[in-house]
Amino acid sequence: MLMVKSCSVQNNFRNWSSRSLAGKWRHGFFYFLIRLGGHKLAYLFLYFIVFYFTLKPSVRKKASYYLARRFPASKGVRKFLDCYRLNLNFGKILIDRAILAILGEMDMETTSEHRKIVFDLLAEGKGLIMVTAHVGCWQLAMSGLDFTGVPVDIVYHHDQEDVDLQSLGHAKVSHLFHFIDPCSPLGGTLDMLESLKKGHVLCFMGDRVFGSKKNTVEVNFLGQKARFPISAFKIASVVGAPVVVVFAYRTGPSSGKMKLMRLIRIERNHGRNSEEYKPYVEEFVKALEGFVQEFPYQFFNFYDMWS
Amino acid sequence: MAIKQKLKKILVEELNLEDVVPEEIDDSAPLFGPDGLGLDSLDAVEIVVLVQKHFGVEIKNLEEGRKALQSISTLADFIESRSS
Repeated sequence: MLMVKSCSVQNNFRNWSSRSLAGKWRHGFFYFLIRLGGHKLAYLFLYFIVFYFTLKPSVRKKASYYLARRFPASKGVRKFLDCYRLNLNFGKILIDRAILAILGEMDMETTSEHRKIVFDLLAEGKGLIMVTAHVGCWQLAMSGLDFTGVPVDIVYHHDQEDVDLQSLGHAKVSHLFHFIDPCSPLGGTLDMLESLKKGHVLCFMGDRVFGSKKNTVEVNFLGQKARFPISAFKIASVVGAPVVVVFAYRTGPSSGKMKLMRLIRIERNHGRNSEEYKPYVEEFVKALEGFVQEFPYQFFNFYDMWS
Repeated sequence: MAIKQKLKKILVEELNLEDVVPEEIDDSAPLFGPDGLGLDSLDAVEIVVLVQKHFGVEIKNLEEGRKALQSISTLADFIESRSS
């Protein structure tokens, strides 16, 4: 049987995990709070629990890879507060996600101009590749894509140790969403191709690497080289699909605003060498840098991207 | 030209396989992974598009792809069965 598994056979390259920090019972506790008192009660407990976690050196270390590059001058108490703020925002995102899954509450704002761009691109009939990142309320943003009226296929690997409640599983939106596992045979690429052929929206996380190193390029991010995947851009080149870079920032409880940062067109059959896709990856990374300059506490990659 | 020969030529030329000549490709060698041609999952997308472009045959889904994309032989058999 043909098995090109990006995650087990070839993937000694991946250095991140989506394993949840807190155990299942802690998540269950928060789900209980949400059912009991909505987001206010859950946030109230969150402030204390995040403080407890931020006291742990191992938790601070995970945040330090990004914070040291975003706030290089930060030291002492300020450094601790930066970490607390980042972790607190991440906790709020997880609660918002759970609120969507449990109560179905979400308010994702998009401008009519951005919606028109998306509709026009979908009308080209080649599907639409949407590249986003682990910033802001990215899962809520995906849920907010129901405005497109077409199915949304998300390239996503769910670690067994990730016990977070997935917001896309909510009955209101679940029928529109389908996950494509990049760890499935052939890296899920045939499913991705099928998705675009059917005119769906295909979502990639542009800040996570899977599979072999040759499908990544080194790009300067926050002053140092980090590796980013070329997959979305290469598939776009093969099928001629347009690419949009979309980020969503959190504006308040269970609410956010989606921003279309870039529209990228890649010529058909652009090439096989990963370096040929570097200019497109750089476009994405520039947009990502712009986002973290504007929203420094809404960047949620807790691993060393620069290693 | 026989399907297998044509396939080998297309793969070498269109995937820009360096240091590979069509005549040296073993019909039964795996297309993917280190033991064969060394292609990867992103190359699978290109092969699907190339097969459609040159042979007018569509690999519609993962099940078909898993069977067809094992080697030059399996891919040629797939194309032949869909062409007839």
